[in-house]
Amino acid sequence: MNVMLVSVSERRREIGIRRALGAKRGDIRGQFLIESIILSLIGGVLGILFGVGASVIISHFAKWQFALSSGAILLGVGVSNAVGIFFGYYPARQASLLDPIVALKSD
Amino acid sequence: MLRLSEIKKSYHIGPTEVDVLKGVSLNVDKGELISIMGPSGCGKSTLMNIIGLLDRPTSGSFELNDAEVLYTNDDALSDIRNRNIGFVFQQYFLLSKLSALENVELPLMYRDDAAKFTREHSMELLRRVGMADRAGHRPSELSGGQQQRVAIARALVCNPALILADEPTGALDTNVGGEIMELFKELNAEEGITVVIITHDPGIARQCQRVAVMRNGVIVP
Repeated sequence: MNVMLVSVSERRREIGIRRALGAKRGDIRGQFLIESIILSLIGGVLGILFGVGASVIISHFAKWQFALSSGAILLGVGVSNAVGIFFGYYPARQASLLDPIVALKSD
Repeated sequence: MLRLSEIKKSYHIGPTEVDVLKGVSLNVDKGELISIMGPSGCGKSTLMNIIGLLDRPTSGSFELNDAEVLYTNDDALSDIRNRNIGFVFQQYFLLSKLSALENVELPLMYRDDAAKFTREHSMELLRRVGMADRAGHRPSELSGGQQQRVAIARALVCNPALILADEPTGALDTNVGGEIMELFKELNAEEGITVVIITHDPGIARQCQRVAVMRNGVIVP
């Protein structure tokens, strides 16, 4: 959640610019929400690749049988996406409530 | 075009109330090129924010194109800004991750009817401000004057009736600032766009058809 909050404060000015040019509160909220969803999905894919890769390497050296559990992958990705999207919504909402002039003046 | 009467604005700073605008009345006709001039702290930025529908006055009335806009809801104000007002700021306020052309197109993102504005329309505007050969450049690759030209093209993209410029030459040296002023004068004379320029610079104000001087929260006659 902190990552998203930082991104909001860094991007306050961008929000002010977009609001001045005609973005509605809902447009800003939507933009930040979509960004957090995309970030969560990318994180999920990277997580799967990393997890599978690590498992393959470990099973190779430990001479274990390698098996993929689709249930475990779904659970992991599902939880990470839910967290990402849930905590993406909060800063997105804060961002959308910013006064355009306050947002423009922040640097 | 603009009809402001008895606009007042006060802020609470701690327990004290500060009156920034103390009853500003101002009419601007369609097709005018007018500057609002005054020293810093006179309230001209606050007035500009109110004219630009970025802030609401404490009291008074404000008609834009014969429609009272003070009681309009936030989403409708966003639409009015998008369709009727082109903003030009002292610090240009281009988005650093977008190319010049993408910056020009940015306001179209917030219109339902964006499809009727072609890429050629945006390119034409870059050509109009002399920046066609820089369409693919990021703002960081452009000089201040060039960034301001791109910002002016962005202000024009929705065919606004009004351009509202806040110290548009404030960050530029005199020559480049002069070129930007020429561009405003051309747009005013050739396209009939109403231009309101907020400035503290008498040299800029002198180039406008009319100057409204502000002091201590009022327009002095």
